[in-house]
Amino acid sequence: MTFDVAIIGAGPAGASAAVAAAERGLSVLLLDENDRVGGQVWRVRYDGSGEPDGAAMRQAVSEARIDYRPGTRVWHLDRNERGFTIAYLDATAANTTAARALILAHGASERVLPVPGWTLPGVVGLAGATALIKGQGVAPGHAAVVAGSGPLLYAAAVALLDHGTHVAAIVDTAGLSDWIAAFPALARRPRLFAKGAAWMARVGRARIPIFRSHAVVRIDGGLQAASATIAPVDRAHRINSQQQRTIDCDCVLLGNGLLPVIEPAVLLGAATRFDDATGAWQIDTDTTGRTSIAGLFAVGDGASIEGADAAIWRGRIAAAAISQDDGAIATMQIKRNRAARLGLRMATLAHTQTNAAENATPDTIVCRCEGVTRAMIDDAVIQGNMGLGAVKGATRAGMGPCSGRYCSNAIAHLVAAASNSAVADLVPGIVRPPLRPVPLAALVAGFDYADLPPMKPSPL
Amino acid sequence: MTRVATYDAIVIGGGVMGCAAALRLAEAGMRVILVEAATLGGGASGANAGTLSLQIKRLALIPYALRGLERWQALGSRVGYRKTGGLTLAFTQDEAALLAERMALKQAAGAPVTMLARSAIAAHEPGVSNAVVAASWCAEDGYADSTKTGLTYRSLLQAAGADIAENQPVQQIDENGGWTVVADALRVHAPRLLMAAGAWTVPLAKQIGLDPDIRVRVNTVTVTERMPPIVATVVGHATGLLTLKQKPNGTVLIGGGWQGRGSPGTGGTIDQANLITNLQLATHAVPALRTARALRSWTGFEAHTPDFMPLAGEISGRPGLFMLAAVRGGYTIGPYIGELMGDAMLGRQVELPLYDPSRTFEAAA
Repeated sequence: MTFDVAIIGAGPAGASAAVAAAERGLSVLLLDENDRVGGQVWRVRYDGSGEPDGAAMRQAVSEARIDYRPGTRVWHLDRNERGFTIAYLDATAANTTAARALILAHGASERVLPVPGWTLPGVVGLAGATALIKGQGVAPGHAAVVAGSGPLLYAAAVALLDHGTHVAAIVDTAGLSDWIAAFPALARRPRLFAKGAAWMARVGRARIPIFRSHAVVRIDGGLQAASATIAPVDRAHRINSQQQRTIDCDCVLLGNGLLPVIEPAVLLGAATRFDDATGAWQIDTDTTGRTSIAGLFAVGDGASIEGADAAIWRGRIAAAAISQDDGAIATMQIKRNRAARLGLRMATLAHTQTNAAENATPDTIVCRCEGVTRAMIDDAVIQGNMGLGAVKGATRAGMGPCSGRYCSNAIAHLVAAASNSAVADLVPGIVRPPLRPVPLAALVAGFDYADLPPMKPSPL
Repeated sequence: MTRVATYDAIVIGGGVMGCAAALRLAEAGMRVILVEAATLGGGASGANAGTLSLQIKRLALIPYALRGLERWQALGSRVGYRKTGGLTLAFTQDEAALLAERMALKQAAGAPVTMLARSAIAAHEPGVSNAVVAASWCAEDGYADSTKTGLTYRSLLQAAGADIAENQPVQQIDENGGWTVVADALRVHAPRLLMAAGAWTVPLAKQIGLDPDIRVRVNTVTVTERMPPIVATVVGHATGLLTLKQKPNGTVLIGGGWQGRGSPGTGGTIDQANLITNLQLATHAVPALRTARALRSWTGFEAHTPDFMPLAGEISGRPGLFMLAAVRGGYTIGPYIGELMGDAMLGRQVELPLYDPSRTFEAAA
């Protein structure tokens, strides 16, 4: 059958969109890679507990008329005059389905700035570590340095403490003045402000040293991270390597904010724009989430980083736009904008302008799948490879199993630095299917040679 | 307005053929500029699967392919050249008959191809399925790394003193006692002009009143994750609808000309059904591929004519205007036919004949 609307991703944005679309009488398909509704922010804990917001959303999805398919992995998206086709894998097989409208709610990935040693075992992303602790009840080590920027820094530190892990230090690229500047936006969201204050109190009680305006410049270790070396960052975002200090640890959590997962929308041809405030490409949408492709919407952090509270409204607004319920949109926009203010502020704070060009030494691996160093990227630019596509071809950076999902932002900043241009002036990389690696066995299951379509031999 | 720079020859199109022609001209002492809309080797020359196989060449083009292969061999590790030998497989009696008939003709045309005894197939390639009924073998077959095409030719052209203008889509061509080519940051004039823009040649030719009958195929290529060694040779299918090889880094490249959608103007996308058929054929040929994960599929635009023969030579009635496009098997043949084109533009005797680009085609090809 063809659904009125398909939604990919069951985090705050996608799940809200699905419920709102179902309430409007649309036939709804909700696909999600996770096993439970909630996304990263409302992930169900390994012991079955979770945030009340997430539990409420899971309840709402289960009660609505939604064809909800958890544990599914979308690998290709295509469009035709009737709408969209969605190719996905579930636990047993490869499937294809169709929908007249498509809402992408893929959420965010985290920005990890490459520094020497960041590929050592024991070094994980802030969000990755949080998912590990929440979802599996496993910490990445016994003594952690938590480094990077943004609120996730403190959330991750608290998750470690709650799990009984020693936190040796928090290393925050932002200074106290950056946080003070964010205060007005925080104060307008009392619930989140209280949450943040509770994190800070917990960190204070545990007497964790906080190094503000500092960044990790190097991670050392043999088979496993054994220490993190940090240095101050000045107002111009330069690292002062004269004042280094080394902190012993067996794991390092790194993260400098979130990046929208734009690949699915780009695969369908949606227009993007570069956002200087967060140093990342976003999906170009109108206020309802409508992209440049008819019938295609992008909502939540997968379109642009505004945070979970705004994402709920963005999902609902897109559902209203699809059912042409324009009257409902205006009041929802006010609530969304109010929620987005803090999300945007936090995203900007997390970016802190300290980019890969500042952190990576020539020997630092940037693309870990293919072992491409900063020097190899710089050389490729010097040899005349202009643009991301040409540098990729010359170095294989971003051509491994992750297809650039981890490294493309860092590569873009390095190419821009090496060619004395702005990242905003680069053409973002082309997205090729599959969106995730696909086992050939799943695609060819049940194949019989006799079933092949007649094959016309090529001309002699 | 940019000042007009004067050259002996202008080449439009930085694929393997345009590059090889420009290189020939520069090495003969001509002042040459190569004008490319995107980046060198960024079109079909970089998107194709890099197969260098005599078994899938057209009969009439085998002499060209043999010489093309020599050029790739000479470029060697710079282009990731590997001579692995290649097998072409048949899975039914009908395919076996087709294969035997075709390979006999190719052998007669000069390709060193032999049919293997059923018992010898596994010895040549242990990775192929035991469902194979018959197979042909060519020890000369192999592959190059097509992503290195542009890089390699860029340095060769620079060493030969040719000028290269990349990211310069041609906006205008004027015939004015020679040829003036205008692009965004470029205005050049020369008595000789070569159009070698592959699938992008038609819009170019229209600017000077030509309408060559060039059609475009949208070929799909897929690469897997790195794998342990599963196949050592270049593997094909009797119909020509499969190419497959494992690269030194362990990834497996799967092609064969399964069609995607799109056009050179708007870009190409894969067709899911055709992609899956391509992968079915590949896993049928090399069963260990079933354990692989597909990492990336993309498309490349292959130009061809109604008779599937090249457009290569001077345009009749337009002295100094040359075209080189739509060469079937163009990646293998490109370095050689580019040289031939250069020789023609230099007024030299060509070693093998070119193909009149002004010829007309029978209707309903």
